[in-house]
Amino acid sequence: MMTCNRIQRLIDEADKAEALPFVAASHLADCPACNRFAEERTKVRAFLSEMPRINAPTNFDALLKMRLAESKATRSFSWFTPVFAMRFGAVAAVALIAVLSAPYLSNGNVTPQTASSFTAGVFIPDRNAIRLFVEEVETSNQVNENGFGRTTVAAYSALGRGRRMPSAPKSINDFAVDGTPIIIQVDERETLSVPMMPVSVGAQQQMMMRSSRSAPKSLAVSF
Amino acid sequence: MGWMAIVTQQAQSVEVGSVKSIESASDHEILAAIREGDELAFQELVRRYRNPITNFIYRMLDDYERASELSQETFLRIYTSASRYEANYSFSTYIYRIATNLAISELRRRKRRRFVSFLSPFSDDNGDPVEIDPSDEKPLQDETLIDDERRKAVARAIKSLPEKYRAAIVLRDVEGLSYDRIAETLKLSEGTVKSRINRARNLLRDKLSAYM
Repeated sequence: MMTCNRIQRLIDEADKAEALPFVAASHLADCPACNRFAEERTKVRAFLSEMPRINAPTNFDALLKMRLAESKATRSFSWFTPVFAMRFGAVAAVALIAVLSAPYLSNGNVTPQTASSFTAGVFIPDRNAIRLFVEEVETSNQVNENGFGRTTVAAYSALGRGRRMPSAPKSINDFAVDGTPIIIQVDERETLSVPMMPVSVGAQQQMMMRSSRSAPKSLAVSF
Repeated sequence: MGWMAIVTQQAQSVEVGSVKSIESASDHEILAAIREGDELAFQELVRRYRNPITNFIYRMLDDYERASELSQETFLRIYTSASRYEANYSFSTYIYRIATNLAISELRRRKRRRFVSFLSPFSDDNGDPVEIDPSDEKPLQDETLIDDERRKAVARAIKSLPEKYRAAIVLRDVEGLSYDRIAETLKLSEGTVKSRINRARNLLRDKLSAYM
């Protein structure tokens, strides 16, 4: 037996009242609610279909012809358009960002900066990177010989809390030239060290990390 | 032989250049001729669709002048992109899709640029200015006036619908397109189209309860 909901859906979807299935049509005879629904639907559809048809203005063809002629004229210089200028600007901006961030993405020597003076740069994240969501941040007052402080974060990845990062921790000295070393607690038993750009003390951070068998590397920072 | 090659061949055999045969040519044949640079074919296409497209966009926007402009824009896009048209679906689906996108873009543009008209300091639920139309104190006895008032109410009710419901209900109950054609036009599933039309009708029923 069909429910009223189902019957009303059939009423709504029918092209005409005569197109209703027999079971729906016979239901209407015994159901005041569905009957009322059918009447209201018929009226709403009639209101819409009876709306007067609007015609295009009499000068429509002439106006269209003018616009076509203008369009053909402007297409001669289509290579230099506001859209082209915007796209060129966007490409230039991305290239600039890549150039500025290249020193931080490479393993080469980086001029160390003190944590207090550093301004987080914008990095282009590796698509294979795994995003870590930082839960707790603890910054130590100790600094190493290069002037870097140490920030400890507890983080979990989008893959699931406690999931092991496929890498082997290295000594702190290996990361000293890249930035402030970070210890990430992946689970209760293991910790993982990754380099991270020095940031303002107390700032909440997200990091994009490359997942690989070698030491993970910070690729991007956002706040 | 591919579909497009077949259409082109048919266009050549129908002699699309003559007035008599052009009127009996299919939309695909007309478009193939347009691609070859046939201006008469384009004029025929405009003749066939300028009124329904203008009517559709008008029902979406409730603005005749802008509807006429966007209808012209629709044909402009048809003309300039004729070479890229793929005959995977009916041409009417294609042209209604362009018109729908233009109308919805216009609606969104208007939302971003809300302004208060000096003539109408009042706005509806969507923030669009509405004209003040104080009801006449005298009882309406003329059937024509009643019908006219109801048509205005229906137009206002359509205008108050969210754009995604508005497009579906106008295509269905004003333009008379089938569910599968509407689904193609809006790039939605038939189920979604039916759902949106159902909701639109529910909203319209509530807004037009005085005329029920």
